[in-house]
Amino acid sequence: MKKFLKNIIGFGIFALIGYSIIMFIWSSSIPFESFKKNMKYVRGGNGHLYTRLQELDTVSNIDILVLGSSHAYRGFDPRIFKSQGIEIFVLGSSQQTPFQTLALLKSYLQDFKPKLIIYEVYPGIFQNDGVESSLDIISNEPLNWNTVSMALKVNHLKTFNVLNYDIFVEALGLKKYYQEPLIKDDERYVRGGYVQKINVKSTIQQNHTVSNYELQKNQIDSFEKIVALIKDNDYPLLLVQAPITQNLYNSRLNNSEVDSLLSTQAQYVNFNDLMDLSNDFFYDSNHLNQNGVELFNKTLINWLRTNGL
Amino acid sequence: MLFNSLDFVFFLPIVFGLYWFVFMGNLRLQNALIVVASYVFYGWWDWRFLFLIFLSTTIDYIIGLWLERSQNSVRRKALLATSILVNLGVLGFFKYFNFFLDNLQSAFSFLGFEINTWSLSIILPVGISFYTFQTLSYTIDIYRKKLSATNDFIAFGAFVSFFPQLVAGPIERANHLLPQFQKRRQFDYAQATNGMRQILWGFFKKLVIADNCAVYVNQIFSDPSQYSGSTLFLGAILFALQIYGDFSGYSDIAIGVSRLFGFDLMKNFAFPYFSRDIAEFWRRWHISLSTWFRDYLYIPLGGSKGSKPFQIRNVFIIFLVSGLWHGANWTFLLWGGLNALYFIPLLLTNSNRSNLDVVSANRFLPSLKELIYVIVTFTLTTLAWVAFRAENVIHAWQYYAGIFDLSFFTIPVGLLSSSLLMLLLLITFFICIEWLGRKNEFALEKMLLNSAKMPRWTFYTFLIFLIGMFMQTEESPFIYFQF
Repeated sequence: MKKFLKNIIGFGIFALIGYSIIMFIWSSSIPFESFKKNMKYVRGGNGHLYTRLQELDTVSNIDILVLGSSHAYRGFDPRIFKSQGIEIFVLGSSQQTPFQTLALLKSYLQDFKPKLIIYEVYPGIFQNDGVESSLDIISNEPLNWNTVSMALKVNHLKTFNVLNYDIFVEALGLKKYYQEPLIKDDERYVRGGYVQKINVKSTIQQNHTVSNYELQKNQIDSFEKIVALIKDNDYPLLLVQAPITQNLYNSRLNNSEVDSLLSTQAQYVNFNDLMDLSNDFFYDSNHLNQNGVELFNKTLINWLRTNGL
Repeated sequence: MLFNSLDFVFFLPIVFGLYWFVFMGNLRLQNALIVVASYVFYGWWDWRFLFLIFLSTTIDYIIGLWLERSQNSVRRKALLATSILVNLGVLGFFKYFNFFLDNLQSAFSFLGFEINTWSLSIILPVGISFYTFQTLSYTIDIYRKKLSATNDFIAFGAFVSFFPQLVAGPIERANHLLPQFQKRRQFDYAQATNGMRQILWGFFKKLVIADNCAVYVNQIFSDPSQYSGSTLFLGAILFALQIYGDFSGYSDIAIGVSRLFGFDLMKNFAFPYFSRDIAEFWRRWHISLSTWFRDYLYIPLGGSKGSKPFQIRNVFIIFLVSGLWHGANWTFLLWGGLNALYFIPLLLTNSNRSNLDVVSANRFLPSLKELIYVIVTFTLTTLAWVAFRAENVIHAWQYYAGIFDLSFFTIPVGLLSSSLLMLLLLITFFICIEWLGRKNEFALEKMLLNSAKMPRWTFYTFLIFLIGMFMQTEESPFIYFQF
């Protein structure tokens, strides 16, 4: 038995190291995505996360820090806010769930010292397991304990594989050689963390399955930790739900329950109730087009001024 | 609890630690631990059906003792009949009740009579077909005086509920497994490491081969009318590989886990897709069930003795019952019937026992003749699997009609995609390893065993890497859990 246990432990350590090395060599040398099914290292990623995180080093003295998913980085245009004398930075990433928001906040909150934090809380993100967004963040953020902690919380094979790969990338100093173009596909990165669609083709879905939002308990727990972290650091917090198409919004039956839940955590505004936007202001069911962003941002700025924020 | 779940990752070391470190030296306590662990393992899925296992255990334990004591042949027959009635009655109710009612209604409707039947919403308890057959073998063997009844209820309970093989076999014979619960177990290093290798290979088969084939199989079988004959044939081949990877993978894990606890379970698969004829295939596929039917049904029916028509009748009975064992659906009968049809020519030409050894036993590669025989046998088996996988007979018919179409001679849809190409490479790797290990109990048993530790461990690590890189990340249950 002693020999068996000794060998099991020995093999366990050997396999852990061997797995990591094979994973790195395989993933670095094979170009086809389907040949590395559970290793999705997305440097640059969706929504210019790499560039956004690089820009962080040059950002200081901002008025508003915006957090959230693509609803945030596609919905808050820093140029519109700047024209009104407000400096904002959007720390968003694709499908960012509270797991990732918490990790990013822990890493960067002290660098910003904003006057206000706006957290875009589209309820759909509370349904998400957070895997895709975790891959995005690990691939683009410098390795730190908050990222590792987030990976453990997401607890998914793909996340662990990407984290493992990232350790090699960091150790070999490969991350710094990456340059992300400011225009990718049909999207342009705008300083301040915004991503603008160019050559917009509308893909609005007319019919959505009628259902309830099923909010995951662990995401709610992380959300509460985010709120507590912000409050502990004495930053004012505003929870915002950016507009989505009426069809999508009305297809969810428990909007009022979600509103009630969110409003218990901090000041909360649901712009789906305040603005009645037609499909002309969206490029897909979830995201505003540039005209929609302008209208939404101006309405938000007015709301902030009216409410003394 | 699934073998491929995080729960089992914690469950196994805990039970292993208690078994060898806390209860070592106390046989009764070790057996009691196995009973408790097995009930926890089963109850993790649905605790409500634990009473069925307990009922089956208690009844067969008592009947076993009465059979042992009784010398009266009428009384012994009555006792055996009670055991069979109770076990098959429970199995029949949970598995075949609604099927019987539906078909009764259809039959009357066909004759012009409308009858109102009602059906129950019955959940099939996982593993019921497996442990029912296992306990039946116990009472039948005592009746035949091939086995002595046990007085040890805990050992018998452990035999019935032994968690590695409780839900999907191998279906053990009492005279093979029960004595192992009655003698002191010593930890055996070679047995345990062999078990670990078998577990690793079982996981590779299930997580990499079966689950990845399932993605294409589910897509192609969901709507056969959308696909060309060649794609449908590819889908059938992938299902053949899926069901082999899934079920033999489960068996490997079950046997491997048992070895960690000092038990030796019977072999359930012996590289069946390298068979040269259907008879050989059935000696190598789901061996524990095939031999069960051979010993408790085929031979009592007369087996291969008697006239040819009599033998043909027996072959059909055994294959149809085997089909029905898998589930209450005409598709399983069709699958059984097809296999019987494949078998008949071998029976008529007295060549059903012409391939008893391993293919190319003394050569590295098969001869052209062997290769052709293997391919033909695999193709026939694959075509029969279509019926097994189909939702109903009409679905199976549509699938067959789709295969036997001129579009069979086109390139399958999606064959040029890199994800399918990757799957085909994994399958090629899998077949190569199976071929190299075909003379052993399982493919990895002796692979690199005589080489240094470093290359051996590197190979195992590479297998773990392939699992980590290519497994489906959603848990998927084993196919045979539904039987």
